[in-house]
Amino acid sequence: MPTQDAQPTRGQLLQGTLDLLVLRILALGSHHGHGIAMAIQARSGNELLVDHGSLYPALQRLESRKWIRGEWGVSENGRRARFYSLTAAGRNQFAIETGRWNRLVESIARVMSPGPTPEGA
Amino acid sequence: MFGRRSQEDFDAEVRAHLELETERLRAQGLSPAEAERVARRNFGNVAAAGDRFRDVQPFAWAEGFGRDLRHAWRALLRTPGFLITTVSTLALAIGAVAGMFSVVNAVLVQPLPFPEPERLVALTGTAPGSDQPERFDLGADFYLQYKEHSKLLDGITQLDSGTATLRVDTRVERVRMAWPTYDLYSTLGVRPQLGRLPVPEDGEGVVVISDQLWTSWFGRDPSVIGRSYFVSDDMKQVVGVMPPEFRFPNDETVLWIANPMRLEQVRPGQLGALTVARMKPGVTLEQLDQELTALSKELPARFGGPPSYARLIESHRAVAVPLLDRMVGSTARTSLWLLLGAVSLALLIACANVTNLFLVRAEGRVSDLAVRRALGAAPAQLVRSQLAEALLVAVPAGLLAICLSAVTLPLFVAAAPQGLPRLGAAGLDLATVATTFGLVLLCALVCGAAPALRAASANLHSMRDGGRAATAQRHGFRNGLVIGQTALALVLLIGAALLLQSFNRLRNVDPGYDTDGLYTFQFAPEQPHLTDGPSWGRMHAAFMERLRTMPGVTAVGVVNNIPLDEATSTARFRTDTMAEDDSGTLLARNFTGGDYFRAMGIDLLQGRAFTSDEAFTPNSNVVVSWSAAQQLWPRESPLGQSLRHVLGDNTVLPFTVVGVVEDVKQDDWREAGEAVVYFPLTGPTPTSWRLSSPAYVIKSPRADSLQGEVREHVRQVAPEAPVYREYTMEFLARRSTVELSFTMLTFAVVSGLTLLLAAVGLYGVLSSVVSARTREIGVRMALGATPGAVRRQVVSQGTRVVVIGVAIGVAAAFASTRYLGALLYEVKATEPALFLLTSGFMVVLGVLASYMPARRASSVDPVVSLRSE
Repeated sequence: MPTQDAQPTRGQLLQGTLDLLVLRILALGSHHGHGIAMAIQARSGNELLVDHGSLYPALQRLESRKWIRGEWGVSENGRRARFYSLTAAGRNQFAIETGRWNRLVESIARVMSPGPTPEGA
Repeated sequence: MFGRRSQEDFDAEVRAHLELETERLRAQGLSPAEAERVARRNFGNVAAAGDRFRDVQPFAWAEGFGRDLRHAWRALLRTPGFLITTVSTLALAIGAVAGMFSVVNAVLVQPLPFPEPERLVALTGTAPGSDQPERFDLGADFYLQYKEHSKLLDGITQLDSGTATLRVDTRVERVRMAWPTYDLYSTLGVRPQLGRLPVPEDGEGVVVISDQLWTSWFGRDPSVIGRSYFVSDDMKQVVGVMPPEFRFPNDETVLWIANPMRLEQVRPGQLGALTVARMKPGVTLEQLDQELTALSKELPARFGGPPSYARLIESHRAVAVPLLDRMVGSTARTSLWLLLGAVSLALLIACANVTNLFLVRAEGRVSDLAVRRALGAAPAQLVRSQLAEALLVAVPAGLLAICLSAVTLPLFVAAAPQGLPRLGAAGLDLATVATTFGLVLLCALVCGAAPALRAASANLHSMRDGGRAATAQRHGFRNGLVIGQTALALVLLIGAALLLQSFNRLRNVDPGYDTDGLYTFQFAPEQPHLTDGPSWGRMHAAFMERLRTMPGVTAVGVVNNIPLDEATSTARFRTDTMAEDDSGTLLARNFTGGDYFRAMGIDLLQGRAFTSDEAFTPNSNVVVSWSAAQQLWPRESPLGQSLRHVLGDNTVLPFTVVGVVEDVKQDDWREAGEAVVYFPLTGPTPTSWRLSSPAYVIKSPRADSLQGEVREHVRQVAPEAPVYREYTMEFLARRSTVELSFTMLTFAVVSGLTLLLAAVGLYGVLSSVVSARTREIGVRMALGATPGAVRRQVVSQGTRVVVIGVAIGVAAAFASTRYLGALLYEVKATEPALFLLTSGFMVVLGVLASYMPARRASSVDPVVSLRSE
């Protein structure tokens, strides 16, 4: 399928990144699935479009690991929806995943930066 | 499971999401329809999400399988014809296997009810080149030698068995008894439930009784211990009652009379008692054979005996066989394994048929499967749903099969040859039910595997072109099924034909006597005046006079061993031309009186039969059978020849041959006529008459309704004497062939069933192949192919497959029919005519099974078939 430059990244996140993003959004407060997708999209400046089809299995996965908790509630516009919030274990996990993410980003940045490697200097 | 979410819950969440998304998009100005479409597109594959949802669920697989089962069940209910055909096909085949398994398990596999039964063996001997049977039972000389010197045995016992007259107060009956040495009980490891076992100090005066006798004759009265009753002519004291499970050497034995077995009773070379031993732990049959063979070489030095004894021992080897094998007998073992094999083949064919039906069914759903694949269903899920369907057919089939065996197993047991030990134990036990369910799972796997693999490989491609792409490969598999079915069915058919031919030959055997219009019975008079041969003989003569007065009776005779009922004893004979120290020729002997030969319809070939005087007074005339005459005087006339009867202590009695009669089948319907020397009824020695309990033979058109009258005559002359072994000769003849006819009948039923299955399978495959090619045939006919050409092509295609199957079947049958050897009679296991005939039959069946779909193919309307696509 031809891809245009302006097209936002859609659903092709790094392995495990979607989980991290979900935890990040829920760290700000409880949300339903659609809200989580919208929040990720908004916070990424419309760069990341979450594949809705992958979101729900991810939520299910996080819930079965007891990092998030799901409860049926009523959405802002009066619809029944399932709201997710972080558990204590989820908050822990979020801290761990954040640290891991930051290290990953730094190391990738070092690899990508121009010039010789520090050791080779 | 706590915290588990249902599929409905998940679906509701997805629905909520789609609604929220649609609302958002509408807020951005899209039309309602457009908003819904984009919302769905943004979500992506709903079904795949559902699958992924299920995959992270605990017990997801089980839940999915449950859903598959429900779907499959509804689908099966929509096609009741398919359901009924497959379930009943499998039920019949599984039921047959389960039933045969139960019989084989009870008779051949279950251990004997003694402690450490694997250490129990029956000891026999072989002496190639001697006049002994190929495998013979041992005499007391072997028993004593082994008992005293073997280092590998923990115990050894020897026993004779037979019948005895049991008299308890006024009740008198003939019962089965055994005559074991004292060590029987310690060797087998059994204890009485009441009283004690015999010990050597008891002498011959004690007896142990069975639980069954204790119950039916004594009402389980414990005071029976210590009392004495008449057993045949002696008083015996009951010292013990055995437990119910002790039935040895057969189920009918109710008395065990102590046998002291003294050294001075040993007659070297006199063979023929069942010898049972317990090996020490860890001893192998080979080691035992070696030790016992070495021990037996010392026998002539220890016991002396004639030169023939020394020669016998020279070539003798001991052969120990597991006791269980000995008790069941090799022919019965062969029959049972064969039948189990036959029904297993039938099950294979049934599975092949059901597999084929599943394949045809799956074909109708190729596009359905392809759509499910395209929507993201994992191959494993499609396989699972196919297996669910197969399981739903196999499980009811298994349940039905169990119900079926509950009904047919007792019928089978009732129809099976008598005397097969432990057959009564065959039934729907735990092992059988467990095996049945094992078979159910196996059938489900086998029948579900092919369609499941097809389902897994279903793809978009096959959806697009309507499933034709996989056609060639699929037909390859189906042709394989037909080839396999044909081959298996042919093997069974050839087996059945061989048995049928044997049975036919056996029925037409001339046994040397008539089998119709003959009634035979025995009774045991115990009158005080019968104290010597002549008075005993006169009693029989007088009694036969009474029998002759019965209306319709044309001849009455008496004989020591009636053919096909009791085996004759053997004795050694010398002719004038043989050397003095020659131990002579071993021949069967029998004692006759009255009009025996005429009553039985045994033809007199030369000379004369006994006169009534000769029959009942000691004299020196004998009649020989034709084979005996051939053996003794191959070039001379046997009449007037002198014949010397060599007795056990080497004394010799001279006799003169006065007549020659035709050979008769004496012991076994299937063996050649025996060489027999007939003595007058009172026998060659003054004591011969004491040993015999002769059978009366009455020739009368009313043979099968004489029992009451005969019993009345016996009651008048000897009210105390039980009447027993009351048979018609027809019954005896049938009984001696029952094993073969039973196997044949069962085999024939199984093969008939199999043939039917194979024919149905062949028809099914060919018709579905033709339906799948309707379009192609339509095109060809539109292009001018004649119906005849289409028919020919379809038939030749079917025939080709069948011919390959037949070729494989013939090869397989050629390799396997020799296992039938023990059951065949005057038929070679590889009889070319039968092979040709059955193969031809299979091919014709194949042509017929292809012709019907071929006719359908040729009547295809080209326009209709083209439009149907």
